[in-house]
Amino acid sequence: MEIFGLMIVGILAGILGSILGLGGGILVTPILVIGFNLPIHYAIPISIIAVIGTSTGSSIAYLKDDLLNVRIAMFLEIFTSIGALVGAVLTGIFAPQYLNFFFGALLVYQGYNMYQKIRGGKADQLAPANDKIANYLRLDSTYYDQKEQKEIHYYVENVPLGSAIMFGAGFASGLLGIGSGSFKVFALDSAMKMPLKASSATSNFMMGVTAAASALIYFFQGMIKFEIVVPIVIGIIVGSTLGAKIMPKLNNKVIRIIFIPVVLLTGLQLVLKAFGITLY
Amino acid sequence: MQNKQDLKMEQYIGYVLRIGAGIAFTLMGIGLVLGVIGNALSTPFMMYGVLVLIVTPTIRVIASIFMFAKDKDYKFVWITVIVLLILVVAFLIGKA
Repeated sequence: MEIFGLMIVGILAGILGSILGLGGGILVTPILVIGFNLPIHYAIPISIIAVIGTSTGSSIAYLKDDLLNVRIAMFLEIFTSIGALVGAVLTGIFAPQYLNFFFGALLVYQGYNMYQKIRGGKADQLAPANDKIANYLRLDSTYYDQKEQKEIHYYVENVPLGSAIMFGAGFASGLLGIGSGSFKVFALDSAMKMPLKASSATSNFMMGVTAAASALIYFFQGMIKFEIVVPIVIGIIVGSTLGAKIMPKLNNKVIRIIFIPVVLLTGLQLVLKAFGITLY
Repeated sequence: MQNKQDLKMEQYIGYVLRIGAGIAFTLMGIGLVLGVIGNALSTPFMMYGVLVLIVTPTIRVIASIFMFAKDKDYKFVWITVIVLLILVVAFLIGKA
């Protein structure tokens, strides 16, 4: 019976994760710890593998839809993977309280930022075509928006700021094991002005690479409980394939409305952690 | 503008991910069924399934190097090589 419970957790995490561009670890870790009484040091490796499952499952569909920008992903993966490396090296060297607070506050700000975009009511502002770095790297792209039923050609801007936030995204996931996807969407959507759907798809694609090294390390350390991770990941592959079919048909506003509570909850959880309060 | 080469590249990467996810899904599925009926081969099937899933993104990075090279997009060949090197270093440091 437990197997079916875990599969359902996987399906839900896969759907939510693929739509929002978050790995789904955000859902998997608390459910495993609270609902299945699994110690946190077993839950984290499982959630890392869940992230890879969501990333791979959803990217198959997003690549077909051209929602995913391979060039932006490849370029920014330099910064996420350096960030993850530095974060992992620094684990245990310094106390993460301040960082928890800093990253938590950033996520709360992101939630606020998204709320403003909804309240503003207007369509997402596209970036102009005059960014030097973006043009040099040919980062512009086109996708067909199934909801608006038109081709959208977009450019990006603020590549250095986006890269810095991507470094932070990798750093946070390496050091704190959390929030990697939210920061990626933040960098793409808020800083670089990439359309939300393309941001979410590209974030999902990148996440598999951010998680790759640590997943392999956990695997060889024998930290992975296969009887738990396998039903979840099977569910996740199904869920993320479904989610990636649903997302292109959604309104941007709906995606942001789902996003806000998730990102606020993650942010709040980090801020509370900074004050010594652990939710799970 | 996005050119034809990029589109082809996305298809290739899609194949790599599909093959990785397909093999992982099959191995894990067999492992799960064997586990339910109490067969001892369950664990190795699940283990290799998870391993295939974990290495798929890295194989995607390696495959991208060749695809950018085929498109003569050398800027991105280097970018992708750098990503791969960082991944290798991260793995070696983490394992030690």
